[in-house]
Amino acid sequence: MTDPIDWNEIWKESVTETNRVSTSGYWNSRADDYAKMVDTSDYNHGRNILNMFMELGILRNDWNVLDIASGPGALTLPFAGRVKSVTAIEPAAQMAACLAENTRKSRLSNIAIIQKTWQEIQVSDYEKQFDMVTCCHALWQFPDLLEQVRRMETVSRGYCCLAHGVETSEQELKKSVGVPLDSRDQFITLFNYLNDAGIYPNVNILSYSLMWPAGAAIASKERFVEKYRALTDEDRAIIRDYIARHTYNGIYRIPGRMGVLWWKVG
Amino acid sequence: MAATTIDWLRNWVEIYDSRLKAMQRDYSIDDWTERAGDYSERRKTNQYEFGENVYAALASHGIVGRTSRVIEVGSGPGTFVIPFSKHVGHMTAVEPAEGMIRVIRENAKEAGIDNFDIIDRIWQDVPVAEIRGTYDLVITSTVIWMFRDILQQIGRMEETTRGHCCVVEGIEGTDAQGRRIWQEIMGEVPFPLYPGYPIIYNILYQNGRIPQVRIVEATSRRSTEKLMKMYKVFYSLYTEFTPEVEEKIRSALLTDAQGGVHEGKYRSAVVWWDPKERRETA
Repeated sequence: MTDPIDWNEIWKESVTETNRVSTSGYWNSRADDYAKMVDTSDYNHGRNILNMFMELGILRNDWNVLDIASGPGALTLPFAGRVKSVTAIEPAAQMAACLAENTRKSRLSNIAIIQKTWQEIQVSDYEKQFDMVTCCHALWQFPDLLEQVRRMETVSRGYCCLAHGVETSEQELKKSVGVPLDSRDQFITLFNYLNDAGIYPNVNILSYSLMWPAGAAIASKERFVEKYRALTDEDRAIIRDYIARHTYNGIYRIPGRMGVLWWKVG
Repeated sequence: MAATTIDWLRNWVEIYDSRLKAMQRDYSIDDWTERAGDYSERRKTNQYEFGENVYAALASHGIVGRTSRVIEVGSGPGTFVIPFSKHVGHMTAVEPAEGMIRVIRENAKEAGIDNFDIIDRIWQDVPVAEIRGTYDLVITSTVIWMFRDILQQIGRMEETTRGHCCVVEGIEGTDAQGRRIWQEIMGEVPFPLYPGYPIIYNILYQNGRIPQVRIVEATSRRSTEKLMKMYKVFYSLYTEFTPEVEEKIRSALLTDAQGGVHEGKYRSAVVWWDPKERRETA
């Protein structure tokens, strides 16, 4: 008979390298291009998650939402336009500054920013304070995923929602410059890990588009390589060529799919 | 180990084979005729709450609607045929057991529905080529554990639909009563596993599908007498059904019953996908 599978170990193994290299310093260096991507994409991935909950008749306008690792606000801003308040947790100072700027530009006054990691938050201070807790494309920062998910459940009186890419992109580019390919199986590991823990999430697979102005796309790929090693002139040439070949009307676009795993907290 | 290196199909077959190994004989179609009464009672609880909740989950995602043609693989007492018929254009039940077919007709009459037909065969014998692409949804609940060649049968379901496929499976670990009674009768013999969720999700995903899931909850209400019948069929497959075994079951059921009725909530995963949509696999 099949042996039990240790999903905790599999998850930990799959995120360790990404977690090691994706420091707050890295995200500070990515803040500018990432914010441009979110803006150019019109907050596409956050908006698609919001639309899903609206279409399902779940989202309510009197909700207080907590968005963990908000970045420049891909999910924070679309949600803030539809709910009572959004509290964004973002540890990277430059990302938090971009979020503050995006908030100002959007004239929303219901967004609070806490510049900390999720792990630094005292959950007892926020027990059952939120109607939905979200964490979008940032779960790689939790090698102790289940513990952090349980903490999310502690502060939620309604739903938890985790989003993660199901397809990795730019494999050709990553192979060309010789950086690690993203793990292809983090979504399915996440799915099994949660089920194994008795959480049994609902799963929606949504399409989305990430769009960068060509210059910001080049900067994002250069910073990505620098996560692992110093950038060479050859890397620069490969990246420029790749982005040029995939840019139309000045916009570099990556279509993708994300798995949205969500559940009602018991 | 990485999640992509797990051979989910092998995992499925191993669970299937280990169940068979633990049994004195496999289920026959007549066992399902025996089970028709209790199964119907379960599915009819709260005016087909289970089927209605599954319908609502699928409808909220735009998978079924007023004009849909739906085929149910292994309909049993009309698990989806009866509740769905009120909402859709046409339902077809694939059901081989005479007793179940009789109950489908009774339940349909009682519900006042006639927009359905029945294919009285096991799914594996249905000539898919004759019905290729003629349904908007192929749906099945608690049936796929009978398919050792799961991917072939999934492929046949996909051939039959021009829209979506859906499998509805119970979530493991919710049948506390069943496990207690098993231990009482079978002692240290491990409780038999039936392959289902979430392995089926993994098989679909690993084979390029893009499955989505909605967890639904429903109530099951059954009389002691009907439950007794269910356990009789079940234990006859695993051991000799002696008066002692019967007494152990009866005594456990009487302890759990409230006024001769057993009521409990159970959760199921509604898994659907569009066969035309594929993801890139490594």
